[in-house]
Amino acid sequence: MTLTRRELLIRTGAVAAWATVGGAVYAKHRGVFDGPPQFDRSAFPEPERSAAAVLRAERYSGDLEGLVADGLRLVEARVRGRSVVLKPNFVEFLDDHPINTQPALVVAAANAFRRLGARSVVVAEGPGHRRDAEAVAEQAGLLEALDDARLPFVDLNEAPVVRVPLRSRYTGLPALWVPTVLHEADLVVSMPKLKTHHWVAVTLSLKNCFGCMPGRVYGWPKDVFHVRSVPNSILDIAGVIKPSLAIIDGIVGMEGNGPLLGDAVHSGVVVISRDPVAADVTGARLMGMEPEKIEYLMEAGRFLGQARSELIEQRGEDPERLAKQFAPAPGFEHVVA
Amino acid sequence: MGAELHAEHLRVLRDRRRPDGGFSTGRGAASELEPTVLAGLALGGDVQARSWVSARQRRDGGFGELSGRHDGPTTAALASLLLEGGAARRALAFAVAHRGLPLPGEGDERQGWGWTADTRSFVEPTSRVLIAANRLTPSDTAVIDEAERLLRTWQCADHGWNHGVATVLGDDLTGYAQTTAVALIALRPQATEGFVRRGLTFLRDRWYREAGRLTTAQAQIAFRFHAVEDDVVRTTALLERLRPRAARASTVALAWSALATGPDELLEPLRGAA
Repeated sequence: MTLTRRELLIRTGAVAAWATVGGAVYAKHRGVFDGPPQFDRSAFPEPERSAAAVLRAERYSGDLEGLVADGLRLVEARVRGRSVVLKPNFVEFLDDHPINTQPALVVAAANAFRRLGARSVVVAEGPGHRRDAEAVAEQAGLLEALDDARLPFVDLNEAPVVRVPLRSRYTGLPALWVPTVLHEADLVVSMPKLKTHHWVAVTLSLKNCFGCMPGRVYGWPKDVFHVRSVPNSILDIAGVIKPSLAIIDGIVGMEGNGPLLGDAVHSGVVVISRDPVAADVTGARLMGMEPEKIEYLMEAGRFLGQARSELIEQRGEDPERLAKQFAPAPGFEHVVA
Repeated sequence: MGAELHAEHLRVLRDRRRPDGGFSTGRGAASELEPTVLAGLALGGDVQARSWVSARQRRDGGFGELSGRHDGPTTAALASLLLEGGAARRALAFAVAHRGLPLPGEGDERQGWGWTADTRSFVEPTSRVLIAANRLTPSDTAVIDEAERLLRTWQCADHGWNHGVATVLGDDLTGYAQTTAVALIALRPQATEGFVRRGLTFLRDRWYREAGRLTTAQAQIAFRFHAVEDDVVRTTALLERLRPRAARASTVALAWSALATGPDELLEPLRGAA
């Protein structure tokens, strides 16, 4: 980490360069989502101005807990007395591919929430590609890290569920079955890896919500949602889960043929926001992608959070300076900025 | 070691029985079909579990489930292994009749079976139907041939089985030990076929790298069915090492562990008639 706590200043000026480009093309790239709203405005207020913090972290060592705590303060996250569920990305584990949110960052985030007074913290994931969550968590080193930190793990594929009616209509499903642990949490924190994705260009805090869906209800690899289109499903699922915070692990990200078979990129960043759409827009830019060309992200900007760069206040580091060009997933070359 | 471990699995399972006679996936949840069927099998055809399952079977052979989304072949095929007589046959018939959506590149015709009625056909659900067909309708070669053909088609380049197809967007997918183990359990009657032997080699090379309880237990059953004794010993040793986590394990994984470490007769429902 090269940034000291004192240097974590709010850098509103960093917005300007991105906003100029982003605002101009925002309206042009709605694509397949052109048309009337497929959500109830009464359930999803018009997104307001938002903020995202970009923090520099070179390694998965050092004071990551302090870094996350500082980031949470930068985005004015209210944590004290609240129950927190951290939802990292452990969709699958493959040797030599940085698929997962790094366990060290998950534990650091948990400790940061504890330090800031959270009432409880649990880690929960429903691996999308493998039914044996224990195997994935063990392979990825998550179980050992959680045991050491005395953090409970909930397998969302097997956890009790509750039926939640949908207030958006992208998949055509009337309701989703949501793990009770998520439904009852005060704060659901989406903790994705900074990655490109072969179906939807980028996978960040919104796409990470796929792992919240119980496999025993929807099958593996959460196939109901693949059948009903991944972008549509991202919107409905995120609309139900409504992550209250996003912490993106971009210390080492993945470029190219993500979300599984891409290559590691040392990006050296962590993004934190109370707005998952703002976090994902920022994450996309940090990968050298134009978020305005990522259709599901722009559609999410109509109701799940702020997608317009000029309305996202960048705090912490200057994201433009830290952006690193990732190779796009095959077929998404047009998304490169 | 195996007998003691098996006894402990049974003890934990019995402690998890809910007041309604069924089993849930984990603490605090309502009874559901899959954990109840598997616990019932692990407990040697448990009467209470069978009654719970029977009470939820509809006239068409399918089952009413808590989530309302289980009306596909997956749990019905599994349930047919615990039920008896006409109820078992109706459950299997329901499963067979609810084929999955075709996978990309496999045309428009429904073939094979998916997790639910509105998903595509995949390895594990198709394997479950094959297990049930092998047991209950071994003379129905059309169903058995369909399942076997698809499993053969879906085998990955590394000879394991992923979820469904072997490639996506031109990339070879890797086999998963857990999915491969389930396929090999289903393919026990075809044990001498080359593709099955190659799948077994994959599993022997792979299972310990995916060392979760569910994977290890299902791998052990596959090794028992395919007579790979040294890996039976190794999988038992790993399940022993996982013993401290038994209280946290899902009921489904625990029941598979109990089946894997139990006597041969417990595995009869999975073995088929051949």
